[in-house]
Amino acid sequence: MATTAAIDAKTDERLRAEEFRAATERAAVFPSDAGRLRLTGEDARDLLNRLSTNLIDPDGEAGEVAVTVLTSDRGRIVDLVYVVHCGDHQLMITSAGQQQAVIDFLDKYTIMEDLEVEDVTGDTVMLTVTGPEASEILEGAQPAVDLQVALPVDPDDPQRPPIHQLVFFDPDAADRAAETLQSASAVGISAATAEALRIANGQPAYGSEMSDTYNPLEAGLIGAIDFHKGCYIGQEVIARLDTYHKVQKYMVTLRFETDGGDATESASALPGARLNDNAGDAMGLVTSATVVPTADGAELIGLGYVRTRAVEIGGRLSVASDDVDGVTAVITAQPLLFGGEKPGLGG
Amino acid sequence: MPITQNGVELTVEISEKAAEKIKYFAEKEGITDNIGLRVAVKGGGCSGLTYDLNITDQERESDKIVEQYGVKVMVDKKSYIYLVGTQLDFSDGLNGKGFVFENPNAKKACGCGTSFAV
Repeated sequence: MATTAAIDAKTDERLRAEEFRAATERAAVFPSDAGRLRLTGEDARDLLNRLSTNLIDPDGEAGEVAVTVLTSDRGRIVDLVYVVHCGDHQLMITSAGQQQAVIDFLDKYTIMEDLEVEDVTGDTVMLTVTGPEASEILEGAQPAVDLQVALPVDPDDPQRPPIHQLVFFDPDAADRAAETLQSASAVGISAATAEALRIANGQPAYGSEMSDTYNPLEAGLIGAIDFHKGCYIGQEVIARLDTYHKVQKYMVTLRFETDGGDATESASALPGARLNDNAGDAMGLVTSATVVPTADGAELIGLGYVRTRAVEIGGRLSVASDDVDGVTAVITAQPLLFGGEKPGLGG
Repeated sequence: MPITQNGVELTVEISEKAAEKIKYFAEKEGITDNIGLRVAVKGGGCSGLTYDLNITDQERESDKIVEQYGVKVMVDKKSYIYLVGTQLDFSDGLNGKGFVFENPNAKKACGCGTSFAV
């Protein structure tokens, strides 16, 4: 006889599966935990252009949205950020929890520039609306928002769903907008389903696929790098890695094949597990894992880093971990979040 | 307050060749009197900090000013911290690098030499 806990777990699982299906077939709405920084001062865009990988046009116009990566002088990721030109200030959307690291980074390199940075994460609420029908639903529902931002996505991948961020200064207004969108057939999803969507879409997250261990080329962020704009911090390293095909590993999406057992338990045990080739040599590691519904049940998927020479779609690697047995990882894609050509492959 | 080493005040120095080039560029900009080079440090460049040069005849009250070979080198207070002890030279010729900084505060520099880290 099933215990109450087991029934609750099954119910949760079924709800998550319904949420995931609705989100991937229509649209999802959920509260975003991304950081929000308000940048003021006439040098803000010029400084950001000098400090990060993509072109931030100092003469840009209000409404422009740029995606760029802040990198260390060794070319490692400080954070992936979106810069929204709001006229008299810039809104910077950071990874969740990275606000202070980004503020410290900007502060370190602000010498003479006119720049003030304020963390407004706690003063605002942000909703994410994503899914194949997200743009149409937003256009039809027209919720009252203080700021609506369409994030850049790979222009050459029609399958990649649009991502809209809605910013509110009043939490009640955010609640009303969420209700309006759900009435218009977007589905409100839990944080767990949002995380499953992220992994399924091959989006790196700070702390899992992004950190000072990885560079933007490895993380599939080549589309957020402008190779013609001139110097920025880390540019020399990144340009050399690309030119000489020296990228050592790439982020890939994975599908896991198991001998059975509880998929949810496996998903929580997989991050950090090593990926070995047939000879038992280490070829990479798992960074994220989750369970997603399929037409005939569910499957365990994830993200990970794999050494360049082992990156082959359909390639199989064994999972080496004390916590899971008999798991094989199959490489399903090498995502490039913002498009661009794969660096170094075949070189 | 001056920054000293072994009792000797550290400043920013320029070579005679650099001074001649500064005069040349100043003349092209129509500046013949109170010829100055404003040297500043900005965030950016491959290594994190980059030099910024401007020909000027306008001094600021808070500038640190060093006059050599008929040229004033003007450095704002914040940049001075990163530049103290620096020698500015000029490298010409087909493969010359232009103005070259010998900055004792730079722990490393990028390949082209215009960006540094401290």
